[in-house]
Amino acid sequence: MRNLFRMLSLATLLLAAGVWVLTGANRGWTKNSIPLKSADPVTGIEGVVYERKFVPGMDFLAASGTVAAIFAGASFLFQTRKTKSK
Amino acid sequence: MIPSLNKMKTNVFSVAALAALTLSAVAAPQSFDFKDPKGVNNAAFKLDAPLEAISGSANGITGKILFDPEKPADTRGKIVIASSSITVPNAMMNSHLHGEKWIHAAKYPELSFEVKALRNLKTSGDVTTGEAVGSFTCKDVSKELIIPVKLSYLKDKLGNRVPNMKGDLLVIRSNFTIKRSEFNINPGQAEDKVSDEIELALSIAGAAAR
Repeated sequence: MRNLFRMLSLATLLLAAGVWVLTGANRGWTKNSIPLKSADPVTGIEGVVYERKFVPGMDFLAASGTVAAIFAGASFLFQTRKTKSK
Repeated sequence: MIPSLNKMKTNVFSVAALAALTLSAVAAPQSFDFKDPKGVNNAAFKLDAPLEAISGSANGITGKILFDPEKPADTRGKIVIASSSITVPNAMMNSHLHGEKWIHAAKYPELSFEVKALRNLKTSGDVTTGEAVGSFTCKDVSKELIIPVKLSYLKDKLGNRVPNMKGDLLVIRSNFTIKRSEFNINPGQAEDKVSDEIELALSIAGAAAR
């Protein structure tokens, strides 16, 4: 059980870091939409349209770190199985 | 002889009246409608606080401007931004932004800028630059602002943008700064994360159909 929680902790950290890096390593807040810009050919105005997209930020990393720490902390609640000495 | 002279007089008057009407139609200011069917018109904003930078935009723009390319100084009108269209990329931040402490979009559905005069104008071709004197209103607080403006008059270009329509376009661009504390937007609070100064960049096109 102890090892299971430690593995969960490590998996959470690695998964969160992987998702964060793969989605562009956003160092700001998590975004639920991203602005897409397109220029109007006649007026030259650059319009902004928001597309729904999850882009995790530093708050996502912090939340994942907290969850990983809770898993790691919980692992200490379980004792290692002692082998009986003959 | 006399009847033909009378007929000639009538013709001369008719032509003169028609010319006068045409001239008055050309000289009269055109009303440009800024409700953009393509949804491209937007007001972008940026807040650069010591701890955080926030940027977003609003595209719910309406309003009408009376503009005469021969007399740009006579430009008048009002541009309105729907508070509900103000958007930032973070959903939670967006909901806070529209809440009571900040924009309070439910109670104050509009922000507006009413143009009262244009001054210090320089015209080069179809482009006029200068300053707009007007009243900026946000959360029922109105303040007179003088903002730099650039107006591009695109004659007969409406058809290029909206098929099957004839008319002119007026593109207005302006970059200016307001202080949220002056417009009752959560004044004095969280200035380390949400700066007092809001940089606004207005890029809008209005259409005058014929």
